[in-house]
Amino acid sequence: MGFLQKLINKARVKSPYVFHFNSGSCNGCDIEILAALMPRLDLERFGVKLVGSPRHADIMLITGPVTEQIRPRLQRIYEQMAEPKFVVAVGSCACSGGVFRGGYNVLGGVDQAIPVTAYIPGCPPKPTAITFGAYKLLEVLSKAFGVAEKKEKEEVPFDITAAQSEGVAET
Amino acid sequence: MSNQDNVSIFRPALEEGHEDEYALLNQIKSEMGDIIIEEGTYVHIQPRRVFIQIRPDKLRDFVKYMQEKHGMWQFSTLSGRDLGNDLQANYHFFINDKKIAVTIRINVPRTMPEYQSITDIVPAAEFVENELREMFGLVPVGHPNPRRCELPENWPADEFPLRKDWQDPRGLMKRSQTTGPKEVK
Amino acid sequence: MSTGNRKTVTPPRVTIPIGPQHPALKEPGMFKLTIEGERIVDAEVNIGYNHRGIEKLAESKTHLQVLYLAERICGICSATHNGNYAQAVEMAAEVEIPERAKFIRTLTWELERIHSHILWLGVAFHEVGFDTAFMYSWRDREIVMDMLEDLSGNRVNYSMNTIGGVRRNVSEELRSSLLTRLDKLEERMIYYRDVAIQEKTFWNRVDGVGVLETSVARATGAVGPTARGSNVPVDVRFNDPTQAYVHLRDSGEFEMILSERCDVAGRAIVRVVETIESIKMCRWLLQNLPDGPIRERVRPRVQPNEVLARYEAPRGEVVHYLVTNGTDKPERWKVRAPTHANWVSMRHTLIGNYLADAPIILAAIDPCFSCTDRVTIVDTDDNLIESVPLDIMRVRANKWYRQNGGKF
Ligand code: SF4
Repeated sequence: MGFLQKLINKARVKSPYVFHFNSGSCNGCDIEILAALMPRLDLERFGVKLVGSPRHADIMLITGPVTEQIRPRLQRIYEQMAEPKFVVAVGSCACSGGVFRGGYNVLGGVDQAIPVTAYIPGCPPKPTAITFGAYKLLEVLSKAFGVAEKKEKEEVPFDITAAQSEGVAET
Repeated sequence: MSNQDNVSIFRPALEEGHEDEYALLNQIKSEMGDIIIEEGTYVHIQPRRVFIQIRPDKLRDFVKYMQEKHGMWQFSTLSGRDLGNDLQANYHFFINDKKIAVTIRINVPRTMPEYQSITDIVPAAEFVENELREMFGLVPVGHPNPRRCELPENWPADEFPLRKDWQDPRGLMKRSQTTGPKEVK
Repeated sequence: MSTGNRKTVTPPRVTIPIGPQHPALKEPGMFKLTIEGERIVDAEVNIGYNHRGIEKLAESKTHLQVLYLAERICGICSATHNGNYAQAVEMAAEVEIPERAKFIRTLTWELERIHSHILWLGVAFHEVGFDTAFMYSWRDREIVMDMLEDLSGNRVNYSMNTIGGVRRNVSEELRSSLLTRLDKLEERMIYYRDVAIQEKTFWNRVDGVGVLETSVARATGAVGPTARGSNVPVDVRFNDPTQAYVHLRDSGEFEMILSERCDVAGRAIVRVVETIESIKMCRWLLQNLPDGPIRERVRPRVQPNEVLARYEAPRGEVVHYLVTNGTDKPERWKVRAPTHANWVSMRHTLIGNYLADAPIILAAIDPCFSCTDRVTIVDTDDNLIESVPLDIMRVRANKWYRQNGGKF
């Protein structure tokens, strides 16, 4: 991997542009995505920026069970995105169809129409869960691109009982 | 499903406690009695609900009469029903001054599902009449702007998904019950 | 230069489709705007991209399952559909639910209205390019989201109602903590009311824009704040009350909010003042919360009946027409969500306005908060096709106003 490519990959992980697409969702997931970008959680501190055009985006967040009318448009928009592109299915509907499984006009999950990189379940997932999912995706991407930062020390799994006995975590 | 079952869904209320509703219904009956069909006409047990069934060819006249005489300008919605031999259209209105919700309904035979549209006198009915035509195949004749609004473009013109006898001929309802990603080309 | 050979040039008619990808409710739309120069001369709405076949799906589910399906018609008004369906089944079964359950159900509804209106206010600020207030209002929206989470256990899709009552009780601590947070919320809302009226950045963009005459609003069946902003007195909470709204109406402390302005500003004022009124209602409900059980048992098989259940959602009147047939499944269930009723009047609000005002007029009926809508500009003369996302259009609109508005 050349130096320039490495730089580009590093920049890519540091500031992913996301595009939000609604494929027939109930709006619950959409407001939670927006809430994740709003002052309280501020997803922008990871460099994430919401853009309005698929051509600018690296990551597409999709909500909803994919209705029949939306499917061709979803596929066309997916093709419009520049490589490398990643798709995140947000919400139970986008993961598997959710409550709309069995409806005559839904496909049941984004992965029935286009390939999906990550799934964030929940109906709707909390903004914290969306932040966590986005963070995890970035971690995986930086490993895949070979630009992961070297860990200085081994990560210790968070021990809830120890934390509780010290009074750090709430019971 | 026979018509016998439908009769039992009507649960008329007692006169006391529903004086306003009965007053309205009796006035309508005395003035337009000849076009009202008794079967589905009653005061519901819920407060402020009146259901009136009329002859399908007289729908426009009746709506005009209600608008002029009773100030019925607020249109809520239109819902269809499949009764077996007949298809039913329920126009839900609300009379704001008297605070009574009036449902006007007509039964149209399944073999000849057509009646006169009321969109020109009730502009708010434009979208719902289109929807009714798509979902039940009940055609409002004279609709100024007939077009497809809910179903996908490739949906066959002779399938109406909300009719009871729609049996999902293309396996659409099974399709979404899949697990795991599909091969995407 | 003589004026004799000057020609009047009619600008060409151009059609602009906006959408259809539109993060919306049950009914996302595609708007086709025809413009002449900068003026909109015609508008058409296409809906149906979000059609999921819920009404058919419901016929194969039991009443209790439909309750949770109904909630997912729309995430922003989830308590609306959930509660209204529960109320419809209770009416069909002819059971009376306990008073405390009625109060808690109404409390959830009113809190939801507060959250929805603040959300709308933020989006409206965003659409006119006033992003500071957008961020502020969304920060304060988190207060009411936390209240809803404490009350029901979830931020969106509360599942608070069940057939015969509500699922969760309000403890004494929760009651007092909700009351303190309502005070804070009221203080912030009064601040936003003043911002909306006094801040020229916002007011000049909504004043006199998107006019919907009272007579047109009546004829086209507009509902909710769209209608009340045009001085049409439609509000199910006062005209056809159910649940604890009967008590609220009888207490005489609350009134329907109407505006005679008929423009976007009128709709904004109605929403903001209504939020303050809702906060007062929540306080009244919490202070007068009766004791008792929160749930009544209802047999799963509901007798044959037909019910027309109405409720005033944040965006307007919701109608559920339910026919039961003696089994535990609905025979027919029809839902009319409020935005559906507002599409027809939408055309009239757009015609005659500047294209630059289209985003705020579309947002004014609160169809949804469209953050990533795409706009395609098709020039009929040169067949030039240009794809523009809505946020670029918004930037262009704000730029246009800087250059041509002259009002600021
Ligand atoms: S997962 Fe839940 S909240 Fe999200 S779109 Fe589906 S039903 Fe709505």
